Order: sequence, then C-alpha cells, then structure tokens
Amino acid sequence: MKTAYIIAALVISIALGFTMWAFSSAMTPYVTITQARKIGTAVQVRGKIIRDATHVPQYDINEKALRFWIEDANKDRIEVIYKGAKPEAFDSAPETAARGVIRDAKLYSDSLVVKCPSKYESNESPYDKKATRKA
Amino acid sequence: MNPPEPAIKYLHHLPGDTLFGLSVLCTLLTVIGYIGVLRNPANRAMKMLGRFGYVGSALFFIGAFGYLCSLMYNHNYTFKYVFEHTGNDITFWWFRLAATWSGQEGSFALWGLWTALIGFLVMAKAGKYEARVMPFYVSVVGFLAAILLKESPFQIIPPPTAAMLQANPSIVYPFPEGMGLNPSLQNYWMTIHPPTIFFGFASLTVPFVYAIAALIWKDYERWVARVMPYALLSTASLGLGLFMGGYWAYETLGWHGFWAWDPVENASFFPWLAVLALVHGLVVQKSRGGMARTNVFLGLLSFNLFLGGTFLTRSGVLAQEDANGMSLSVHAFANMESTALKILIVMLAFYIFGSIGLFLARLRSIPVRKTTGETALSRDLALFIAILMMLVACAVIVFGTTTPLFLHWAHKPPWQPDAAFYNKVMLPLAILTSLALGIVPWLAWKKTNSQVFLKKLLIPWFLMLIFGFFMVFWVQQAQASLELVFDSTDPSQTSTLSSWLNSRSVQRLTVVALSALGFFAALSNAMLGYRVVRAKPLSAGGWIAHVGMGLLILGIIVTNTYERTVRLNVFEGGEPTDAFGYKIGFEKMTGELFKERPMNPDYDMNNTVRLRVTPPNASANADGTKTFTVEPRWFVHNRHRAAESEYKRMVWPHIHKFPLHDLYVSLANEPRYIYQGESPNSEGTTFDLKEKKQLGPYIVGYFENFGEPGKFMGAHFVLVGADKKVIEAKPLIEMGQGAERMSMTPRNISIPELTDKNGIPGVIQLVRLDPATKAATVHINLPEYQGRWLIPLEVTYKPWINIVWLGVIIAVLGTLLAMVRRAVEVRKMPDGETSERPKLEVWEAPTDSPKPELVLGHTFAPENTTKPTKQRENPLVE
Repeated sequence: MKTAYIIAALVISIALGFTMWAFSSAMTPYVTITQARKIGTAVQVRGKIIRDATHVPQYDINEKALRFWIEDANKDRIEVIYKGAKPEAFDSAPETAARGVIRDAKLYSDSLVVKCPSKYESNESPYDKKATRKA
Repeated sequence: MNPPEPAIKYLHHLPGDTLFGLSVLCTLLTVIGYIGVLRNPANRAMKMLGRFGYVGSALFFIGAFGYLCSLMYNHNYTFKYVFEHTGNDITFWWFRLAATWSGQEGSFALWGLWTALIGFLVMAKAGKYEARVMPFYVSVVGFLAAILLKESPFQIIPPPTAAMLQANPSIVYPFPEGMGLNPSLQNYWMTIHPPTIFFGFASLTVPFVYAIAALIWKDYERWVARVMPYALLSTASLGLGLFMGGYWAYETLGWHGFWAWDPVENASFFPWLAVLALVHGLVVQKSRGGMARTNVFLGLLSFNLFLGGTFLTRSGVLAQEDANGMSLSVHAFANMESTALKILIVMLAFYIFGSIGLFLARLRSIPVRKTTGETALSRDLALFIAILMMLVACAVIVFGTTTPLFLHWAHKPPWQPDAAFYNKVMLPLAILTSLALGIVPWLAWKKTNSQVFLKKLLIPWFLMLIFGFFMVFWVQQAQASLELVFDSTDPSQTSTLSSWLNSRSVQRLTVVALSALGFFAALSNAMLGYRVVRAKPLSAGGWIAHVGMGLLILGIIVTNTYERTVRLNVFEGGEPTDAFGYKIGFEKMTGELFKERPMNPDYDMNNTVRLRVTPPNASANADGTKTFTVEPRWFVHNRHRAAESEYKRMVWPHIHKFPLHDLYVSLANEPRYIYQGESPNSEGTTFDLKEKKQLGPYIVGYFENFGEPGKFMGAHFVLVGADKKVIEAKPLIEMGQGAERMSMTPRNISIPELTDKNGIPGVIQLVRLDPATKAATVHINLPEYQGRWLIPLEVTYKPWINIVWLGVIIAVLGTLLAMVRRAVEVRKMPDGETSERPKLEVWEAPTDSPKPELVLGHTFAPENTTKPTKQRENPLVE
C-alpha cells in the first residue's frame, strides 16, 4: 500500500508541476500594437480589420499568405501576414485577434480568431431571413 | 403579440409535444411502480406498472424522435427547427434524416433516444436489480423529455399576420425553403458521429444508476459483474465516437488534424477517460477485490462529467466571448431557452449533488480491502497507477476546459489554454502510460517473480530497442525533411507558440523514446494477446485493446511531430509546382457554375479544383499512369439564402492516402483568376473616356458612360475582333442598400457572342467607374485573350497517420470483445442476487489450455489469499 501512495504522490506532483508550467507558458498576452512592437516574443493583438480601397485584405502570392491591416483601439495600424487556412468567417468579420511575432514591422501570424458577426443559430424571426424574402 | 389568424395552424406542435409530455408522465408512473416493488417485492401489479411505465416513457420518447425525423425528412418548414436546420437542396435521404440531430434540440433528442433504447436492455437484464436501478434510469429519460417539452423542436413558425402580408405580399406560408444544413455536416462521418457518441453518452447512465443503487443498498460487490459489459460498451462507443469526430475534423473541417483540444471535443473526452478508469477499477475489484470505493466513485464520475460537459457546451457558458469578443470555440454554441436551461440545471444538480452527497454519506460504510499494490511488481499496482493516470489526465483536461468559467467568476478577462498546453501536459503522461502498457502483460496479480518477469520482458524490450534504433534514423531523416520546408516567417514553425519542446534535440529524443515505448506497448500486448487468443479467444479483448492504444500513441507522436506543410501557388498552364517531390499541376475547374460565370463563379459545394499530381517515383513509368488527381474545394455556403454578411466560406481538403502517409491538399485561399494583362493583385484595366486599346486580336474602346445615381452605373464598350465584327457591351454596377453597407453588384458581364471552344463566354466586367474622370476599370476575358487561374494551395505531408486510425480500430474491437466476454459471464452467472456463491465452474481454467504458469510467464502464486471466492477466474486471462 505504501508503494502505491508514494507512486501516486509522485505522479500527481509531476502532473501538477507540468500543468502549472504548461499553463503559465500557454498564456499569450493581449497587447496593444505599440506594446507588441516592443516585445520580441509571441503576442496576441486584437483589432479592427481595415477594409478600405487601399487596404483590401488579400492573398499575397509571393508571401503565400493572407495580408491585411488591423487597427487597434489606439488607432495604431499594423500589417498582418497570416500563414494558415483562412477562417470561415474572415470575410465578414469586423474584428480579429491575431497571434504571432513581429518582424520587419509586420505581424507574422499563425493563428487568427475572428468574431463572427452572426451566430449560426440566431434568435431572429424566420420572417427576417432572406430565405423567406426570396421565396 | 400578433393576433392569431387561422387558429388551427397553431396546433401543429401538439402531437410532438404531447408525446414528450406523455413520456414525462410515464416516467412518474415508472418511479411509483418501482418504489412499490421495493416496498413489497411480491407486488406484481406494481412491477407491471413500473415496467409498462418504462415501456411507455421510452416509446413515447422514441415516437417523438421518429415524428421529428419524419418532419425533417419531409422538409416540413412549418416547424421552426426544421426550417432552421435543413433545406430543399438536402436531397440524399440519409442527410435528410441526419439533419434531425444537427441542432441543439435534436442532439438532446438523440441522447434521449439512445437512453430510452438502452433502457430496454437494462430492464431486461437487470434481474433482481431491476427495481433498484430503473427508477433512477427512467428519470434521465423523464428529464430529457421535460427539457424538450420546454425547448421544443416542434415549435411552429406562426403564420404571417395581415399586417406582415400587407407589408410584404410575397410571403408564402408555410415557407417553401429552409435555411439549409451546415455543409460541414453534410458529410458521411458527421451523420454517424453524433449517433455513435451519443450512444456512448447514453450508455454512461447504466454504470451511474448501478453505482447509485450500490450506494443506497450498501451492496458494493455484486453490481461489478453486471455493470462491466455496459462500462466496456461505453468505452468502446465513446472511443469510436471520438475517433469518428476526429476523422471528420481531419477530412472536412480543414483543421489539419484530428484533435484540436476544442472545448466540445474535451467535453466528450473526459467522460471517456473516467469510464476507462472505471473499466480498469472494475477489473481489479472483480479479480482481486478491493477498489470498491474507487469504483463506486468512478461509476458516478463518468456520468457526472458528461453532464458537466453538456452543461459547459450547451448552456452557453462557453459561448461567452473572450475579452475581445472572440468566440472561444469553433463549435457553434447556442443559448438554450431559459426554462429548458433551468430544467437542465435542476437535472445536473439532482444527479451531481445527489450522487456526491450520497457517496459522501456512504463513504465510511464501503469496505476497504487492502489488496492494492502489495509489492511494487504486481498487476494490482500497475492498474492502480493506470487508473491514477487516467484520472490525472481527466483532471487536467477538465481544468483546462473550465478555465474560462473560473476566469469569468473571478472577473478576469476570459481566456482559455490552447492545444500546446494540453500537449505539454499529456506528453509525460503518454510516456508513463506506454511504459505501463508495455509491462503490464508480464505482471501477475498480487506479486510477480521478478526474475521470470525480467526474462519475459527481455524479448519485447530488446525488439523495442531495435525499433528505437530504427526510429533514431527515421527521425533524423524526418527532421531533415522538416528543415527543407522550414519557413522562417511562419511563427508556428519558429516560435514556441505551438511547438511542444523548444529544443530540437529534446524533441528528437522524446519522439524516439515515446514511439519506441508505444511500439513496446503494442508488441508486449500482441505477444500475450496472441497466446490468449489461441487458448481462450474471448478473453483477449483487453490485450487487443492495449495493442491498439500502443499503436495510437506511436502514430500520434510521429504524425504530429513530423507532419510538414508547404504553401504554394499553382498556375493554370504553368509548370507543375513541387511539394515534397509531388509535382502538382492545374487541370481544370469542375462544375457547371464555372461554366456559367467563369471568372466569378458562384462557388457551390460541387465545384472543385482538379489538380493532377505526379508522385516522386513516377518518372520510372513514363506513360503517365502513375499520376493521380486531387480535388480540393472552396465554396460559399448559404449564398442563396443569407445576406452577404452571413456567407460562410468553406474549405474542403482533399486527402490522398498512401500506406505510410497522407497527402493533404487544401486551398489556402479562394482560387483567383488573373486576367490577361493584369498582375495578380491588380484591380483591372483602366480606360479613359473614349480611349481605345489593342488587346490581343481585339480593339476595345470605351465609348461612353451611363447610369442613374444611386441605382446603377455602366460603361458602354465597343469591341472589334479580327473578323471586323463589331460587338457592343454594356457592363454595369448595380447599387443596392445592404444591411450594413452599400452593395455593389457587377451585372451584364458576359458577352455570349464571343464564346470560346469550351463554351465559356467572353467577359467584360465593370469594376469601378471614377465619378470625376469617368475612367472605367474593367476585367476583360475574351477568346484568344484569356487569363489563367491561380490556385493558392496548402499541402501537408502526414507521415504514419494510418497507424493512428489502425490503433483506434484495434482498440475499439478489443474493447468490444472484452464486452462480449463480460456479458457472457453475466449470462452464465446464476441470477444476480445469488452471485455470492463461491465458484463459477465455467471459468475454471479449462483442461485444454496449457499450463497457465508457462503461458503467462510468471509464477502464479497459489491463491491462498483471503478471498478464495475469487479463485474462479482463469489465471490465464486475468
């Protein structure tokens, strides 16, 4: 029985240690663009996706990545180069949180989280949906 | 409230709701009946009441489900649930049915359906336990029926009022078309994944009610044998369900992997870990006694964790957005109707707090037998550690998944740990697990002769070292291939964000060690399993399942660490582009919509990009037969129904399977048409007013602009071809007032007079008309003046992924075999109540089997234990 308890204590403490370590290192802070420029490591920046005539989100065939600009709450702007599958709702998303590292004043991102403007299941009346209008 | 028009229309919800109501009513009758039986076991009338009550409760529920299915199948859009979850384009009968469980109400109904069906089995097989377990069992059906009565899938869409009709006379009621089924659900795996996983969830009820009965009647031994087949059934079906979900995610969702540590995935993973721990605990108790307390706890835990997970994912607590308004999960969460949510909370509180309270109250009365881990080298201890590790893993995942909840309560900004967190924690657990899996076949219960143990261990250990040696070279080479496609600007490859281990050498070492241990686990269990199969096939289930788990660990570590991705562009008519030696070239765009609107197709799910791939070794065979095609898709869902802001762009990857790897081809972005004379990102060709340009064989002139402010603007073009024929084109942009911003729709694009030999009409599309200078910017595509497609691709090489699937299948089959064995045991047991009898002759070691000592490879200490009753087991199989 003693052996069992010793092993149990060992396993649990190792797991606890690993959990704490992994948990603290999994935290990527949300920062403003100004802060992000100062930090060299991975950051998460949130901002409005700019969609005007000169800042059209585009797939850049040389970078082989989605390029777009975001603007944070302080009106700072940064270009995001996102290498990954385009999120489903990106084209209609007003905002995004991009995670990545800053190099050459660009945010190289591997993860985009987008805010979906409308949930798939909505509570609006069926009469407001296009399906009925079309019919 | 709108005044009801023809009142009769409002009654459509009645049949379905009545069925749910009757189901709730019958639940009460069942409980009353069985309470009567418990008070007086001889009361036959009460027993009949209980039984018929259950049959009624289950049948009404099943009837309601069937009714819902038929409404869904017949596209009856009077019902809101049907309207929101299917559409006329869903024609394949199985998808028409499967749409039933695509929404929240439907998945609750599916859970209830399985619970109701499994209940018949429980009732028939419970023997004298019937009256003890059925009242609790039926309560689950009752609660679900009550939830669905409140959050009814039979809600109807009220007919339009006179005022609405006046405002919009085109309303047709009932609606002729629904909102459509999410295309990611229109997939073979998605249609069978929910039924499988909900079967698993529903089956968790059985161990739960048996554990409750054990606690109430202080009978902590005899429930074990009865519950074993159910626990194994849960393990197998939940495991299979998780696998199907993973395969679906891999194949359809474009997540690039089979497991993303998403809250919804986690919520189905932790109950599985708990029921897996229960299975192992039951094995210990059945063979050795002991663990009575643990098992009762685990029986309660698995169902409670499932309920907790359901609450997390269904109630909308995770649907809260994080500090930045970002949704925390890729799964769509819907908020429940508030009364239904209250019923769910009551249900949860009833089961979770009730069972925990009962457990704590009875804790002292549960006998403790000190049998576990008498020596370090014993199967008892190995199982104890296994259960411990499963629970630790379970706790970590529960902790990670509920993090947003705790942060919410602490008024901190919401955040949840990402996949890297789980991977990091699971890695040491996986190493320990595979080590334990590998040595457990060579351990005896109670005490193992260490010399014999080491001798038996020698062969698999030695073979593992050989495999490890092979892996050292394999990993070396895989690492080199990884360096080849290394992209220094891709943070996922350079930063520590998603990498497991920051140092390459540590990573290499870990992969070699873990894959070798996984191999060791599979090998050890296969060796013993092979012998057991020959002696007693039915008893090999556990070992077979362990073989699968070993392979699974091996496959996961290799495929996750050494998958490699490149992003590339393939041009129509260009040289094939190289990805890992595979030459990928554009072949054609398939689908009618590309023909109709060649440059701006209405992408639907039947349109694919056909690419021809030449594998690296195909040059030996020059006849070209070794090439194959891949057809990834990119399409817009809901285009015809939703406003533009509701469009969902879907990516469907194409997976080409090889024995040892998968080639995973996915569109990195939508296919782009690059017009002749334009650069990839250019807006178009600009003409000043009255300007003429020579484009290929054509002379194109911009004659004049026209339009009506706020409605449309157009440009009048004149084209003269080589044959001197004059063609006029008047492309225009239609302006409309969208919900959020002005919509600009290009119209009058095609020039049917100039159709090429493939039937694709010429195109002149107005992109912009400068209001000041009147300069027109257009895209032009004409026969002999054609652009080309640019296909942005993401190609991933997934080594050894088939080992993952193979491992899962073997594990599930092994578990099912174990279930059959345990079910046979229960059947051969004389009626449950008398199972205290000392021996079951059937399971004495049969004469035809070789001497167990030799087969197992450890001296089997003569069982002069405190529990002679347990000697009945065949030592070979335990």
